[in-house]
Amino acid sequence: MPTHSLDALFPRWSTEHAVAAVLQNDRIQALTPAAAQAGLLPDMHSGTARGMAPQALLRVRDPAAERRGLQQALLCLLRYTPNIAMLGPHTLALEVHASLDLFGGPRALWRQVRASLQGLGLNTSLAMAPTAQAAWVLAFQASERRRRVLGLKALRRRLDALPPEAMPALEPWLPWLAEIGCRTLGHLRRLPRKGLQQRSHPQLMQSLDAAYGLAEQHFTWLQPPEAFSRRYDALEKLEHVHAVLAVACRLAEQLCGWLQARHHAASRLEFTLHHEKGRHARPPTHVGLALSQAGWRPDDFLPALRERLNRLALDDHVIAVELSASGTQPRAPVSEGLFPEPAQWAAQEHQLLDLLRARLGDDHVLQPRPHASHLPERANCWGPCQAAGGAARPGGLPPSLPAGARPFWLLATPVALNTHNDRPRYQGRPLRLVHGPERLESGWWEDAGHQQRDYFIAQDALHARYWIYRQHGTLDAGWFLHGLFA
Amino acid sequence: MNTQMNPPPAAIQGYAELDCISNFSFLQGASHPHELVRQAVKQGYQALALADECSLAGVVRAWVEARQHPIKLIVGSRFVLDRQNGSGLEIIVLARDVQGYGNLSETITLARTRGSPKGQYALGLADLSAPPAGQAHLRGLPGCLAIFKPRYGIARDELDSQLESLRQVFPGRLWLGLAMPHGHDDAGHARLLWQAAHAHGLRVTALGQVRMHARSRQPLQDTLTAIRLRTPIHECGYALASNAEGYLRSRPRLMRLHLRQALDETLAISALCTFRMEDIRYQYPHESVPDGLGAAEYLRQQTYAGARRRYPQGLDDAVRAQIEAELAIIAALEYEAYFLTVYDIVRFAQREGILCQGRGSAANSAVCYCLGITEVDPVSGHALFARFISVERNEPPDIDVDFEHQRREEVIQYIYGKYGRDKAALTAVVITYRTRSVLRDTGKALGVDPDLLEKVAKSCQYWDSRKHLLDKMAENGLDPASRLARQWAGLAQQLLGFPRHLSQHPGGFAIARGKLSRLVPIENAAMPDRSVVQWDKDDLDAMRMMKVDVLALGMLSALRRAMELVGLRRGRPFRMQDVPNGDGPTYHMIQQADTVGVFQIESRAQMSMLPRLKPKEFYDLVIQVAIVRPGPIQGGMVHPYLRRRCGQEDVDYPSPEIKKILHRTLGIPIFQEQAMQIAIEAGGFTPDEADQLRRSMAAWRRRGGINHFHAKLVGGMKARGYKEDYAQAIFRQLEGFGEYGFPESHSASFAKLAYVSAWIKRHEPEAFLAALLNSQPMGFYSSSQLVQDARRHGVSVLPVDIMNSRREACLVMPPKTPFPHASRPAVRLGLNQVRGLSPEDAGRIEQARAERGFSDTHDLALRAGLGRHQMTALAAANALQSLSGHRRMAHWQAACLPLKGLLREAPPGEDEAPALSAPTEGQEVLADYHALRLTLRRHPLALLRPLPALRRFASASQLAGYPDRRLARACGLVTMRQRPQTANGIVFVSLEDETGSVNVVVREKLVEGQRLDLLQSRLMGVYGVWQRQGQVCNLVAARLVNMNHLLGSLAVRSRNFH
Repeated sequence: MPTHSLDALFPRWSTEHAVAAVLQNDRIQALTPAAAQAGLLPDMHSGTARGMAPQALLRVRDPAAERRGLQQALLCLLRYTPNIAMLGPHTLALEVHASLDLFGGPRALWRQVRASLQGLGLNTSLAMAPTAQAAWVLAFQASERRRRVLGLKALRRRLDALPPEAMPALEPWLPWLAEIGCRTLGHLRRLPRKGLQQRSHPQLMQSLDAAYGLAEQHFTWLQPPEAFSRRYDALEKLEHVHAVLAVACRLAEQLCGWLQARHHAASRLEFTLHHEKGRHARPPTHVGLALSQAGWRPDDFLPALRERLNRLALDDHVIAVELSASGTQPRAPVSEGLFPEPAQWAAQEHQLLDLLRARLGDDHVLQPRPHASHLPERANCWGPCQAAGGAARPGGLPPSLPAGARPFWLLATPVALNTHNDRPRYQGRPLRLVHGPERLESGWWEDAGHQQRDYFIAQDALHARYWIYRQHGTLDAGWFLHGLFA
Repeated sequence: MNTQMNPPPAAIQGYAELDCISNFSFLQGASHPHELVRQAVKQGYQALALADECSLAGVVRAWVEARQHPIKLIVGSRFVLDRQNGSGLEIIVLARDVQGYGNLSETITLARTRGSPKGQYALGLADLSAPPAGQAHLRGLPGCLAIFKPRYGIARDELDSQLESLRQVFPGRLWLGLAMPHGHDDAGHARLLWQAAHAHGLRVTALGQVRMHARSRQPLQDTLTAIRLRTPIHECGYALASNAEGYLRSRPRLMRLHLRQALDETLAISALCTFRMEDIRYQYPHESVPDGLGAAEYLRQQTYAGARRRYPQGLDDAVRAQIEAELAIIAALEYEAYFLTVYDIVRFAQREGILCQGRGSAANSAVCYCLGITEVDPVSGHALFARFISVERNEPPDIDVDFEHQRREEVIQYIYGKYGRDKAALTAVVITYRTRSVLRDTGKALGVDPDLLEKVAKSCQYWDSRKHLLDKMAENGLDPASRLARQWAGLAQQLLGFPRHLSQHPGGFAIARGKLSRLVPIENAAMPDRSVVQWDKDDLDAMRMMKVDVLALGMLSALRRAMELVGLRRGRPFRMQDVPNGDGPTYHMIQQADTVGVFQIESRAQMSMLPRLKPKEFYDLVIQVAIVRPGPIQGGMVHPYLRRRCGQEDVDYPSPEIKKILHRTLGIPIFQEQAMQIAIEAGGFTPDEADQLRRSMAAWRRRGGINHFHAKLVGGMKARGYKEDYAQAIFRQLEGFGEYGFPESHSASFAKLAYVSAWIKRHEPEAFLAALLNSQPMGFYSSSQLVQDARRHGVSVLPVDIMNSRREACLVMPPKTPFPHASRPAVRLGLNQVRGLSPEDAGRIEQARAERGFSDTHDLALRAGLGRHQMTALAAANALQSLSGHRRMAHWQAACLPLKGLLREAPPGEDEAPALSAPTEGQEVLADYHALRLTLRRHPLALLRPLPALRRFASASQLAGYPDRRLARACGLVTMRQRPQTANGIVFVSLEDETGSVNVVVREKLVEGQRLDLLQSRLMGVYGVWQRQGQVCNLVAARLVNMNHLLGSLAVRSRNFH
């Protein structure tokens, strides 16, 4: 994947001609052609780059996003062979020797693999050669024709003419090779072998031999993940069912790769269609696809999927599609345990919460989310109760307030109090200030503005205690009731 | 209890604020010391105690301000004791008398120097009750009193135990400090403290817990907290103060909050603290005076001994009178020790063969000349000592001494060794918030998007006003009306100029007779083995403490090396005094601007001035050095001076006084001294005021210009009969000086070095080149340019060679001939030229070679202990040619290293040599540049010249013959891009080709249009118009062409393309 780190951060850079670059250690690691046009160079310092092209989008490399891209490709390619190895951080090697007949020969396989990868929307450069190292070398060739060699002899001829830079494994020795005037891999091979070994790492000779098919190379095959759940974020809003269907099929294909690699079969697919977020947020649409019989090939799912989706009426456009396979089982059935697990009992509490949420709605079951702020209404935050595991975000430690310094019940909005003889009254009863003032001034950086209040604990004739404040620093200074003590 | 409802008392009571920090408690206090003092005066406080955290860094500034107001400044500091083990007792310590001040200062030094990293401190209660060895006199901080500030909301039993332990440390000198910060339970806290005070027999004093002078600083205070915690403000939560009560509150408010008794106690404490900053008695160190002699006697003796050396033909009366006058002033001000201390340091340097030269207001005096501190003879030239220290001004003398940059550390360590670490320490530099750091830190605190933040910070080199800043933000897409933009601009404006941390002055030393740490706290510097006082040079000046500036100057290293080489060639030692004055050929060379590598007059601006100014004698050089500076250029002094010098403009003096001051610079004020004299003679300033004017000019940015002198100067001059126009013009010129104006004495010292280096370049070009190469990096020119310049002057330069090169470049003497003057030595490049080879490696090579020559690369690597990296570096530099043949073979062989262990000595046993073709000339040239940064082969342009793409471009030598305003095209390697602030956005580019260099002027419009080509071209082509003014030629660019690709072609082109 030649532009992998860019793709991960700027999914649409090639269509938008974005002036964009990826930073690593504060230096440019990869950049778009448009960025090169604007004067950016690889390895340039981010500060210089900002000065050179102020309009450029610079983002720090996101390894997680890259892993996701790689994972996507891996899942999709597992359909073709279980033997996939990672050569470099952006390079996958597929051993397809055993799959050639199954997929109709090298040309056909090439076309199918290419189509699958294009379907994922990944920018990849595909090469095919008798050895993995050689394929890696060829992947850097510009024309597609030059990236495909099947015979070993032709391969060696092709390799001999290439410069050492073409071979990633030679990278540490490139400056030295340039210094001694060695310009092609052929030239490199003609150097005295013993002398070369003395002057380099054994790895150099090994990679070279592996590329030329003179030595075996051993790979560690990648393992597919334990569970399958993928989300596809569409670049544009999907307005029609058939667009959603295309995405769903793509995800189903990845699922098939995964099922294939793990020798599993799935009987139930869960699609979640996410709609617009923000002000016009709509809850996502769930589409379940249950099969009477578990399957693992695209053909097992696609017809049913088409049927199901074609019947779907889209209320709103879709921005992302998520697929998870809940009911997967090994293809050969295994006997299950007889008794339920004790851990299940602990889950009952969550089941109760789930039940409550289902009955009352998500927004009506709340949990406290304390926030570190001097302003009481900001500190006293409540949020929707999250499902199991959704622990409250730590809000910082509250200051060492003694018990009873804050009211038991804080009103959502303070109630303005009228006054009589400059003394605040509540429900017609005058209030007596018994404690205070505690002055709280904070929030100047917030949209709500700077709050300046003197808080008092007040008592009425019935000895009920109130938390009231008086605003200062504003023109409409007045008294407000903010909380009630137990 | 409701404190709010107390009726206001009839009479407003007195108050002294004892709990106040300034912004010298870095990132905690939100106001400058002077702001605090002024506000305290406004609120009618009787006294203000500045007690920053473990620091006295702000007290001098506070004192300077407080002197001008009816308020008493109490000096103190605060500590959080045992911060590490969590108990965290906060005490405020105030100095009662000068002894107490000394103890406090020493305690801060102790807390800051014992292994604590820079900017931090460690002090425990145990250190105060039982101080470490040698510090027993600090037990319980005698002469100080302590106020304990219990944590808000503390429990009674914890408070009891803390009070018990503190009472033992400060018997009878401990107070309980009560602040009423409007927290959740002020009344309860107050009750607790009063009860505890009664139980323990202590008194309670009111405190204000002041962190800012006015409550409007709360946003800034919060921002500082956020910067300190490196967290955006909205995530700081409870780390922020809950309200803005930490300011200097009005006395009526304090009376409502505090009991009368607590307020009275503040005044009682204030009365106990009788210490004033004036009580600090600084005494000059005594070490430099031999036992049994008085300082004055010794100075006189040494001065006359020196005078006999300087004037071997005998002292004439003028000199004697001069010396006597100076000695009288020195004696009147008791500055002998100062001169002797500098003399001692200079003598040490001379003993060790370290070249040095003094400058500064007192340096160009006859006494300094006799003592060998400076080489500028004050008698032979003009009246250079015009600004010699004067009795009225009583300012501490100021001598800066420059030393060789590579050996200055020896001098610093000598000073530490001689005076001891408790008597000498470096001056501090207060690093303040500047434009960009302000925008970055405030932006981060406000949570501005990092990308936007960088853009705004980048685009703001400076701003004059908030409006300007908001405009800059708008340019980068931030709505100036938005809350974020307004707050960002406002905070940045406030934070600008705030101190951020203390750093070390490059070479300013504070030296005292007694323990320096009793005068000012000393703390660790970031560099190991360095310690720094907490005051900067302005503070030391205000306290009238001596400081000697031990500075580093690259040219002195080069001159020392050059003179050694000259001595070697001539067969006898050669010193600076041996350079003859007024050498015709040297001045001729200077007039031709043939001054590459010469000190000071080598920059492009200087070079373009030389043919116009045509220096004929030493004083012309003094002016030349001073006039080509941003100050005089901005002040518009250059062109009038040139016109007058050429006789195109008449010199008229509006009065005889002015004539006396300005006649030597043809009526144009060029030196700082002249500005001061005009202010005194024509503006009616007192010498003290004139000195303030000078300081304002010197500290341009910190003090905000000299505008407040405008009315006084212009008015004063008009009152004395000068025309308004003339007065305004003089003021504009002074304003232009900024901080870039030169005092005449500095200029004279620099001119001396310029002359000496020019003389060596003219008469000993080989030694000059070798010395400059060995002193790199310095000056304006790269090694490559220096070598090319020398070769154009007929110096032969030999390549780096493993069998012949030494560590440094050296002279190769020609074979002895009967005519010693006919043949010149050659310069052999040294191993120091090889990129990637350390001086230690080079030393081992030289050592191994001294035993016997190397037989092959294996022998070399083995005996000189070189690894692959070093061998590759040598191969790349083509230094192995005599062992392995061409560069590629050298690289092949250099990669084969001796085995480790038992087989170390075994020969590599190579049976097969690879067939490697020799590199082409183009490849060799590129490799030379890469490994040596220079080539002795042909210039790359000479190789490229036959290409059709270059056929239309003229060479530098062809251009030199072009007339004015002719269309011209030039191309060459870009050796310099410069954008001087004074040049209205013009960028100057120097192009170098095989015949010389061409100066290109790129106007601002073209800079904008062809930014990339301008910045990225290494090989640049320029279409433009030739501009010729006398001997000064420029190519004014109309179009730039990036021709970098041609350089790449050098690497791949075959041998036979030319």
